[in-house]
Amino acid sequence: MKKKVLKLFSLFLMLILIQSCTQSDATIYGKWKLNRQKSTDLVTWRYRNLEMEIIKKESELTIFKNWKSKRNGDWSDTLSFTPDSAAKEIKITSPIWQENWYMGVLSKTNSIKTVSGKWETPDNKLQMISEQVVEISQGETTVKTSSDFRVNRKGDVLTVIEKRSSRPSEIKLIFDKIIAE
Amino acid sequence: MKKYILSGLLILLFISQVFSQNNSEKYVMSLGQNWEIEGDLPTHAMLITLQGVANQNAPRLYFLFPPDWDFKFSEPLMNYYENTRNMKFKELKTAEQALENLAQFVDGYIVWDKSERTSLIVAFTAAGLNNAIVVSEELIPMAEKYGLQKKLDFRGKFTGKSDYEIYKWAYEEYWDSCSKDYLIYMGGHAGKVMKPGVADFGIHKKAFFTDASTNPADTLEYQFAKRLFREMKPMSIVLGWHSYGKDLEAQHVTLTSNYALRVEGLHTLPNMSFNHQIPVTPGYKFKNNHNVKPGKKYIPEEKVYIASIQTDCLGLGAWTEPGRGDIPYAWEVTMNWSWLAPAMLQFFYDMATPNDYFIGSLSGPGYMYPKAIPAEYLPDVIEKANELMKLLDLNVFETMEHTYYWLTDAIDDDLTKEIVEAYYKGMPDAIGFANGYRPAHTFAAYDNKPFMSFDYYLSEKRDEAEAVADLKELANLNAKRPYFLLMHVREFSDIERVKRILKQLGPKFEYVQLDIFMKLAGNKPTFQTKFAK
Repeated sequence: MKKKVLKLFSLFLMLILIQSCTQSDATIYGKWKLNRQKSTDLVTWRYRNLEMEIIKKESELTIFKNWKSKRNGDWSDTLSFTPDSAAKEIKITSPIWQENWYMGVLSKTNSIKTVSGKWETPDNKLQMISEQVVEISQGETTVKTSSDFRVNRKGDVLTVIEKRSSRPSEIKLIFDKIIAE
Repeated sequence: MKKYILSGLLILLFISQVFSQNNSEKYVMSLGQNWEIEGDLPTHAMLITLQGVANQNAPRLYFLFPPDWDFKFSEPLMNYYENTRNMKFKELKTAEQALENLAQFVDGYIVWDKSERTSLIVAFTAAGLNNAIVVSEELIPMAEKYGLQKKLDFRGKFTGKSDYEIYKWAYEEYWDSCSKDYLIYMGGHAGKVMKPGVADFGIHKKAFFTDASTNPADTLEYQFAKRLFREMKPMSIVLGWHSYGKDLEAQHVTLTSNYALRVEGLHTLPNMSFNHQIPVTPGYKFKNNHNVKPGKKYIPEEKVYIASIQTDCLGLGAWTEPGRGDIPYAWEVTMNWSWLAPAMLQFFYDMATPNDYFIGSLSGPGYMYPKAIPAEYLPDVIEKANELMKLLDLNVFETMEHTYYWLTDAIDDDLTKEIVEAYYKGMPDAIGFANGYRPAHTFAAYDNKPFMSFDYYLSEKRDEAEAVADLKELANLNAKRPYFLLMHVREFSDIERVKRILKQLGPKFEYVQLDIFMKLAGNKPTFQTKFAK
């Protein structure tokens, strides 16, 4: 009897092990909505709520961010780049620095933002690096941001850890998947 | 000899004034927390109009507002009057008691229509002109019990009419008889709630009341508001607040500034018909807590210097909260209180600790937007503000610019070089200027006097660890030393919270009082000069 229980228990353990080693087919693609309660306290420009769509076309990724506000109207920005390739250059057209409305920082208009990235696990774990010029009270400076995208096994929660070269602490953003009805 | 006679006469005049004030019986009554039309608003509105009328010739009726009221000082101010002005207040417990004691000063009542909220705003105007109180239908028997007769009845009069139509009627009926020195914006809370704290003063001054929209999209009401503003005297006062249900603060202040009018908030400002009549004590001079030593040279070290200003009017938020006096803190002074409610402002000056430093505000002698003020009025506006600065012993002035803010997704909050220079010219004794609300981007320095925008907005809701990270990040981004970081503290952040945040910044930061900060920044400005284009 004891042997039988032990065998069943071992089988159960192996199943768990196999499942945990198996690659999840969850991807970072799709539409996501920021879960403010679970994320680092974020003071977005005019308190807009962030929704994000990540699209892959051939090997190019497009990250479309829609900062939504019923009261003040939406604000959006889009960036496209190909992971594991040369950095992409994007022209900044708006002074709005969505990251933090309380700090005296603006994006420098007509400056170039560079974006590059690499897959840690294709479609599932991505590291994105961006560099942009910002305007501050002492003039201007460059901010480098590393963003790590991770999707959970179930594919319904996307975690983005942002580390800015200027900020002493990281910013954790938790997104819930928007399921099309 | 002549001087002594003159001084003696002035003291006698003051004593007789105080005596006449103290001679009148004074009453105090607590108001509750319910301000809904179907709740206690009718009784509260009746009492506030009674206050405006009863206080017409002497300060007689004072209210204690509930703990959730915007302005927190009604009780401490009453205690101050008791202690410094020898006032004695007799407590009234019910509206009936209030009428029993004060109906003798009232000529009648005006009935407003609870099914038409705007009828109450019109009734306030009519109350001032008719020396009347306002009542809703169910309060008529109470008013008549105390011998009051009906003067006007708005029941059903405005049914089906738009606010524009109602205000147009009120304009035709009352405008010519109303004050052109004071206009009351009975806005703020909208819908089923109204908090007409400042209505007593409007009645006292026979002002016109409205909440007409200043949003250009509301074409008719907008044009109506413009007409009122155009017909007010330039530099006159718009007391109260815009309607949260109709327009934006920035739209309201832009339009008032277009006519060189001075906004004095809020709609909840309490007891002004009473406070208006209490002078400062004889020989009193407003004295600020200056920290800059004359002749001393202030040379900054290789550090991050940080200073705080609490904006949004004295008496809102942190002034009565724990921690005041523990750290150097600068407070926006509501400068017009020096003549609108002199003893009330003295109360704040008397309460100030050595760490409480006052500054002038906001863009003019009242709340205004510099870009919206017609160029021909700007020098007069600055001159008037400078007069108040001198009276109140202030040497730092604050501006705020949101004329195009709401049209530019909150980007345009800066001042042109011409406007900045106009402030320097009109306020030659100022040691520095602060600008903005949320961070702005205007920076300049002339003759070692800086004009600096806020680099950080400390919201009362910001997570404390993230606020610390924000400040440290700003210090990293602005890498030159010294770095001067001016912080706006939203009034609801109490000083204990500010202390906890500052404590975590580390030894590279030095927290200083604003006047020292201005001197240090003026002597070695490391910010880049920048103006609005």
